Amino acid sequence: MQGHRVELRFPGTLAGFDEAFSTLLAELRADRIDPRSRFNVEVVFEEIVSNLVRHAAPHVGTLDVEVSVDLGANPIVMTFVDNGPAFDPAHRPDPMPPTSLSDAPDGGFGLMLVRRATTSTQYERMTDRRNRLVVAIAATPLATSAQAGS
Amino acid sequence: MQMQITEIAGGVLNVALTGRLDTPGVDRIETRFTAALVPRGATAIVDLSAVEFVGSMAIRMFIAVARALGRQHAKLVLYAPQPLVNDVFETVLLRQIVPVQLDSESALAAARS
Repeated sequence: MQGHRVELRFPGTLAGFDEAFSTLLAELRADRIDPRSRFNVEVVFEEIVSNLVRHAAPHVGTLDVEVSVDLGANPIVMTFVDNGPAFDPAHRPDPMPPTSLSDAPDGGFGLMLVRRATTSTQYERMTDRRNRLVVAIAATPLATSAQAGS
Repeated sequence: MQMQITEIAGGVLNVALTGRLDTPGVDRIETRFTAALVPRGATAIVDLSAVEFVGSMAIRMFIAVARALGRQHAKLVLYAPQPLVNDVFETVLLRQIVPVQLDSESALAAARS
C-alpha cells in the first residue's frame, strides 16, 4: 500500500468541521481502502471533532483543530491536536445500555462508536497545553478484500 | 441532506432521507425533521436506504423524536439501513428502543403494532 497523509487544519466551528470533513471525504474516495476502514475513519473524525466543536469550543476564545490521517498503511493512524480543555476520552465510560425510550441516554454514544472503530487510543496533554489524541484503525487493502471475498 | 415526506395508508408518514447524517447533516435537517413529526404526533417510518453515514448526533436525533412521539402514543420506525449504518445501530443497541426494520412493509407493520 502506498503511504498517503492527509493534513487538515481548521477552526473548531460547525463551518470549519463541515469544510474539513468534505476535504477528508474527497481524499478518502481517492484512496484505495476498503469501505469498512473508510467508514471507521469517517466515524472517528465525526465523533472526535463533533465533541470538540460542541464541548471544547465554548471554553476557549478560538478553538484550533489539526487532524492528520496516515492512509495507505495498516493500521491507519489519525492524530487530533486541539487547544481546548484537557479531555482524555478513555476516562469516559460507555453509557448504560438503554432498556426503554424513557431511560435512554441523550449522549455518550460518540465515544462508544470511536472505541468500536479503533484498535488503540493514546491521549496526551502536551506541555503547550494542547491535547493530542492518536488513534489506530485496522485497514484492509481493496485488493486483499476482493481476494478474501472470492 | 434531503428529506421527503409522503403520507401513506392510515395517516402514517413515510420520511425518506438522503445523504449523510453526520453533525453538519443533522444540523441541516433536525429542525425540519422534528417539526414535521412531533407537533402532529404522527407515526412515521423513516427510509434510510439512501443514507450513507450516521453518527451519534443522528442517533440522538432519532431517540429524541421517538421519545417525543412515544409521549403522544405515536411511533418512529427506521428501515432499510445500509450495512455499515446498521452496524452503528447495533453498536449502540438502538433497536432495543427504536425499531429498525429491513423494508417498508415490515416497518409499516411495526408502526401499526
